[in-house]
Amino acid sequence: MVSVEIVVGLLYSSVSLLTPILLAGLAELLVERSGILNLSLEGAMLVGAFTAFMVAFYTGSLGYAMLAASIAGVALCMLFALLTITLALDQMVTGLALNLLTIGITSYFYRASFGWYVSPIPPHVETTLQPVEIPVLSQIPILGKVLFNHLPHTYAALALVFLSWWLLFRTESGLKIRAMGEDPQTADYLGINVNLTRYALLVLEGGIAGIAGALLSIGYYNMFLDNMTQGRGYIAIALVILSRWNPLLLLGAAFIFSFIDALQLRIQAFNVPFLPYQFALMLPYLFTIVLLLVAGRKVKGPASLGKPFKKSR
Amino acid sequence: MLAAELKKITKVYPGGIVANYEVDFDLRKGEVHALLGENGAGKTTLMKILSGCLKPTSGFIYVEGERVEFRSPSDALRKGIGMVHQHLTLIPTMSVLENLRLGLVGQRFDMRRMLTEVEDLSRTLGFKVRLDSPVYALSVGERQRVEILRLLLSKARILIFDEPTSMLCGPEIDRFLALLKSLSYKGYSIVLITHKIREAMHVSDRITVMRMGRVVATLDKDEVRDESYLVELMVGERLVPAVANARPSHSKEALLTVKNLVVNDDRGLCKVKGVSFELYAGEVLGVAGVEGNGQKELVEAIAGLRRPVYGEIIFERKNSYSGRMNYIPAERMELGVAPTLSVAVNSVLRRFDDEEFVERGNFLNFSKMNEFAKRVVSFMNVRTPSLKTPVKYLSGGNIQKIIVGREILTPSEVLIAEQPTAGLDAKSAYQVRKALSELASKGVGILLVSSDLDEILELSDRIAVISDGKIVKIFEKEEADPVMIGSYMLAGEGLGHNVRATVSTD
Ligand SMILES: Nc1ncnc2c1ncn2[C@@H]1O[C@H](COP(=O)(O)OP(=O)(O)OP(=O)(O)O)[C@@H](O)[C@H]1O
Ligand SMILES: [Mg+2]
Repeated sequence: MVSVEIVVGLLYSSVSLLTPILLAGLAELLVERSGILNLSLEGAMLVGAFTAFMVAFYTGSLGYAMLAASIAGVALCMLFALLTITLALDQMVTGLALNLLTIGITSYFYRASFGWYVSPIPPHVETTLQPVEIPVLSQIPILGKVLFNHLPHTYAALALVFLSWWLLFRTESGLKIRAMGEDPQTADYLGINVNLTRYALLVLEGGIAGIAGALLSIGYYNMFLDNMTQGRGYIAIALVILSRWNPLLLLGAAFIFSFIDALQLRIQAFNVPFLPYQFALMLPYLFTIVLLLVAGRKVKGPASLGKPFKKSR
Repeated sequence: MLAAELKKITKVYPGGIVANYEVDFDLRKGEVHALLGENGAGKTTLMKILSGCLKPTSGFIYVEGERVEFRSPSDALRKGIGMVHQHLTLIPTMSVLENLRLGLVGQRFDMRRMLTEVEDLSRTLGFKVRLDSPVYALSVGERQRVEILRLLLSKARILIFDEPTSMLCGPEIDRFLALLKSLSYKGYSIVLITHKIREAMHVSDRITVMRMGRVVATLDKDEVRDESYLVELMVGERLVPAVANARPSHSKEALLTVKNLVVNDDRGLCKVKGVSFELYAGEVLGVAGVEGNGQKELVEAIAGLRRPVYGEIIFERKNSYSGRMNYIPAERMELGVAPTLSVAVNSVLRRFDDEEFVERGNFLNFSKMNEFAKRVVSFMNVRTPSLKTPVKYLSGGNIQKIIVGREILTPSEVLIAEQPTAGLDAKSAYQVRKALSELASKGVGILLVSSDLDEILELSDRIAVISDGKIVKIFEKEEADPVMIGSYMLAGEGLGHNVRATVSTD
């Protein structure tokens, strides 16, 4: 007999696990709609996680930590923008290279600050981000518990889903973004400033990705670990494809993913015999592949996604 | 008063091609100024400079007497300069409405006003556009109409049209030209690039002729003695004679049989509604009709690009080597060439199953490829720096020449020619018509789809009129008469009285 408690708990942690992936995914979705494939999303999350932890550790201020994390994310994405937009380098290669770079840099500076031998009890911050209970709504039975006692970022992410859908499909800016994702040359001829818009979107993505990363180190945990993001950025990108570049579908896809993630955490905790925990760990990723096979096969993205655009003038 | 002026414009493309050399060009307020010149003369380049799409290597631009420097097309738009490009610039996945909307970015926007304006314009021009249809489902001619509408909707006062009528049919061209004229009376200044001299003579106040990157003459219309004089200025030769259409009468051996063909378009709407005909060896069968009446889908089905819903297409290879069906598509850039590959590769693009070019099924024979490419280039007089040049760096007409040359020189049993001369200069168009006629005398069956009724009348042995997805009449050459054909074209259509934009959103 599965008790209500367990289900509520499971759903609650799904929603809370959802937040960083949804945030990162939404930002990437907007960027991809404009025709840029930014794999360095993963790296931006990682520098966000690292920077947030360091600032929180040394200043004790979570506010500064979040701010610093988003600045770090922006900085990385601007580097990416410089290389891929201004210099028109290959986006895929640049993104991957930057990710490897961030893994190295964060691990290096972590050790440079805390010693080369990581002690059995890693350094941690005293206070972490706290959920905010929404007054009346959180009293609703079940739903209140599942939805209305989360980090402020969760609420922001949910709002952002609708906001970005509205931006893309109901505003002129959205029309411009989609046009340049299909054909930047045509967009340019129509008087749209392609490169500037893409830069702006990458600033947005960097900021959001940095915050999403920070949620890991000072929200759900209280410490930083090597390569802490563990491919969440990549997963966000996969979910963007799965959602056919539609924010509303992204919410669904991200929720299913985090639900399975939450489920596999329980499975690990229950220590099911004959089922090594590595198997449970694998589940969400396996699910992503299966879902891509089923739903993502005939999906066509923005026509110029990932292609360098050089104005010939 | 000059609306715009270009002074001593030189444009050297990366790679060293001099497309414009010390060109002076001016546009008076309220005039229609035709820009003529053979393929590759530099017309598009010059106008892209005026619209801010290209930066001149040297030279000056003045708008309303004021010196300007455009860093991007949006700078030019702000000065009221807009352009319809030769290669279409619509977003295929977006709807017609969204594409029209894109032409108005940065301006105050009112959906209801735009819809009324679209409807008014479409009525004046006799265009029929479904606003909710995605652009990819439209034929090239229909896309051209959308593009024209988009520029007319924008607030530009200087309108540049780069071969806007290449895919329109007779009555539509007349209406379009009449609209240009009336716009010029309202104070709009218009540049019209065209290869149709009659069009230029009909509508323009002045005519500028370019050749090899330079302006050879700017004339008031009254100064032009006759059309052949213009041709001489353009290509340095006297006017070409019309194609003598004296072919041996064709056999009754059917090469291609189409039976009860039903074809849907990309949206699943039925576009070809039960078409049957036979194409005989050695004949040119012209297909006449207003764009959007199923020609695109019919041709795509025959060419194997689209699966018919119902019916049969029987094509028997009589001869194992030349027993193929060649195809000159109207969608040049999308279906005709691989834009980033070289002239040489594009010349043999459809022959990679051919022993001559691919030995032992895998190894490319470059010398043979180059040899054939050279034949294509010299046959069609393609202007290209080298065989290695990517075709996207050629002028629009020269790209077209490569496609046509390739399809004509590659042995075939049946040739589907869709708008084969659209975008070609007078001399090249003549060359192509002659070549098609010769092919037919050699026994090739040619299906000619063209919006140019004169071309169809000139070349065809029989003329099938398509209207609303059905072949309403097949004329023998002797009984064909433009007025009759025209009335059949409009039979299922009623162009002229109840044409209006179908306005529906979402
Ligand atoms: N992007 C480009 N890069 C290099 N060379 C180019 C480019 N575009 C055009 N050219 C060259 O510049 C010359 C002029 O081209 P342009 O397109 O202006 O001709 P055009 O008069 O418009 O001809 P058409 O009637 O065929 O359209 C041609 O020789 C062409 O090969
Ligand atoms: Mg041109």
